[in-house]
Amino acid sequence: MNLLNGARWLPCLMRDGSVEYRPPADMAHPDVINLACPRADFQAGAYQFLLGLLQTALPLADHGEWLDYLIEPPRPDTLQKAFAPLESAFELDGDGPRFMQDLDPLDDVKDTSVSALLIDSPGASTITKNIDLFVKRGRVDAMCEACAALALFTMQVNAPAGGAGIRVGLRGGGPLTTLVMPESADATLWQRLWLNVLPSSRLVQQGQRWTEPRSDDPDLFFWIADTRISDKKGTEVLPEHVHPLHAYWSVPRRFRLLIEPDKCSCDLCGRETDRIVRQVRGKKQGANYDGPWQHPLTPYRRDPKKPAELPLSQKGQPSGLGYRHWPGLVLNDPEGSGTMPAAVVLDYINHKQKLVDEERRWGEDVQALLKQMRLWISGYDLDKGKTRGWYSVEMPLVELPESSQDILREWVQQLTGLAQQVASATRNQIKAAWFKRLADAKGDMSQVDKQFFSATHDAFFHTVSRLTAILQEKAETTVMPADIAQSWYLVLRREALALFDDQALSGAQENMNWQRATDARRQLQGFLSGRSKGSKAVKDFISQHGFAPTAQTEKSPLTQGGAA
Amino acid sequence: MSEASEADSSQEWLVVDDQELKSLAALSLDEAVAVRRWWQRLALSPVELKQLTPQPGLPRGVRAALRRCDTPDAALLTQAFRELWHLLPEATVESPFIEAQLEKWSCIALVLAELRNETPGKALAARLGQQASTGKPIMSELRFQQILTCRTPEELVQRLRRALALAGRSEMSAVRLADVVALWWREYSGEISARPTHRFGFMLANDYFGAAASYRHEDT
Repeated sequence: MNLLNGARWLPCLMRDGSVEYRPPADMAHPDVINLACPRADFQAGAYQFLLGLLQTALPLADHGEWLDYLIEPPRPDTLQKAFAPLESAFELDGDGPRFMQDLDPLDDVKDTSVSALLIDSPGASTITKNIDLFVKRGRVDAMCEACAALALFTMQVNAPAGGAGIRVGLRGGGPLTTLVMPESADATLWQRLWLNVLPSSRLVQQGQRWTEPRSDDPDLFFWIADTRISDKKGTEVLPEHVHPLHAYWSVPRRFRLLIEPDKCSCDLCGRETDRIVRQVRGKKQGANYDGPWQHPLTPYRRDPKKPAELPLSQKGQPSGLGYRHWPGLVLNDPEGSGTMPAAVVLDYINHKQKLVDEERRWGEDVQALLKQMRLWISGYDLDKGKTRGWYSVEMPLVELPESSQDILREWVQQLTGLAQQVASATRNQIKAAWFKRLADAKGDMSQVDKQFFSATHDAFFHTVSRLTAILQEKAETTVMPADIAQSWYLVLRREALALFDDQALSGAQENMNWQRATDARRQLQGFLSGRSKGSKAVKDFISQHGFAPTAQTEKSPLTQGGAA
Repeated sequence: MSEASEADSSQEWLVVDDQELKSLAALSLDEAVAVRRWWQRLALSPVELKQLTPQPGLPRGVRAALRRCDTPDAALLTQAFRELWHLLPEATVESPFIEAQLEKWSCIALVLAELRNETPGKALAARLGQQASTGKPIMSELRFQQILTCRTPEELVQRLRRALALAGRSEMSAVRLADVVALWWREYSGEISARPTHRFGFMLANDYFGAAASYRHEDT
């Protein structure tokens, strides 16, 4: 199967709710509103595949060209024509170069199950030791070509660590991917994709040179030439060795799919198919990526104190993804906290947003649905070779002029900083209520943090939107308005106590250790009011923003008299 | 008519202030006002009473009769109880669970009869957790825990009466004392507050250990 010559392999969600398999050139069809992949990681993988394809087949000179395609999406036959020169690099089987596979047929390697392409499949050692307790063997024995292609691509772009010689992806094992998405559920697939397409000049990293993408360029598509084997030192693949677009087409793993003609149904999508993949061959020592890679779809973090060190891609963590990660995914701060949002997110905030606004002011009919944007964050949570989970989370994006971003970042850091402090105090006091000897209680309490952050999630984004509204009105403001700071503080206090009461006080009343429970609650209250020793963060927040730590002042004439 | 009730409510404001009202979990404002007025007429000397209300005090023997009662049933038959019942708001005395209301309020009457002097705002358990001359809390932790685990109204009345004796029958709020009994009763009849901080165990323990915390940490 060739992925670009019109084969109907891409599962598309249509406006009427049905799922149709269509060729990639139909991605700009007005009735296609999303992808409908059989697995969540394939969905994110397929987005990245299409984005890579767009960047490669339709190189953009500038944002003006970007805007033209946004207002007037290309027709499927235009896209098909643009894909045609690339076709030879997108052949899934055959004797020539195969899409994202080894040029060598790997005849010297033992065949393994096709499930090796799935990141959440157990590895050989897990199966031998019989410890596939959550990550199960035997779920997927046969895949159709379409699913195999998506699995192969998803594996290559996310490739987790797997042992000696098994190379991780270009962004490290299991990176996060952040994409800008329209808020509206019936935005077209084209709009969803196009918001994340960059002018070619923005893809060029230091040391790289832009050339017209060609299907026979071995610096762009590694698989059309012999594999860059990494068995020796000095064989690392650095950004300056490759085409700027290679970031979208990295191949750290060596695979060959064994495609057989057989009538069978696919274990993933359930479709009947004539050609099936049951076995694959895999080999160590694929391309070994090293150096200052910055993938355009992934947020990075650097240590401002160690400027010589390479930036690290942000990864999924066991504590999940919440608004506390939001500033690092959206606000550029390489010198302060060291966070560097993905290029597509920054380009949207700093350029596309402005452009779309201006056009609209000129009366151009850029769909109203492109007014509200969300950030879609996805990625694996991996512990070396072990898969702990897949995250797919959406959060709001804000509309903000570049000049106010420093202030907003500072404010948002104040908000999240306080939230972190309150979360950890709440966790500690719940622990203090539960356990007699704190030092011996080593359980995983991150669930408490997760609950706290999810309870305050909506209030956070509400607060951020109030702050951005103020910055849009008065750009010169530098002090967070006291009433907004206070309402955030009150939300945190209320949710902290509610979480504590729920976790520490709601058990069977007769088994309760009341002394521990009430002491812990008093400690938490002291912390929240900024009175206790450890609550400097709260005290500082209150005095910095100049508000009273209670919701309303006392009304009773008696107590007022007493105070005076 | 409406003017009169407005005047009443402004007077009630002073009988139970905002702060104290907020600290109550099981009594309504009207009930709290009734409790305080009744206790004042029952326990205070004519001189003390005169500063608070024009209403006359109850004869001394009324309280004595109540204190001699051993059981809530016996208390029901006293004049003191009838006086209290008469003061309670309509919503209370005309409740469909009249039996339970009668028993609950007779318990409140029995316990309140032991109180000689009031400190408005102060909770029973906070008083019990206060440091005695021995350096320990007025009521030991063990005996305090027994209050938390009372299973019958008789047991509750007995333990609270003992607690009052230990506390010198003073330095707590009559209203909050009545609230403790009413709260216990609420949970005894199977109705537990959805808010854990409004439950019998927590409210008492929080006051007790809170009072004890102020000096306990210095020991350790």
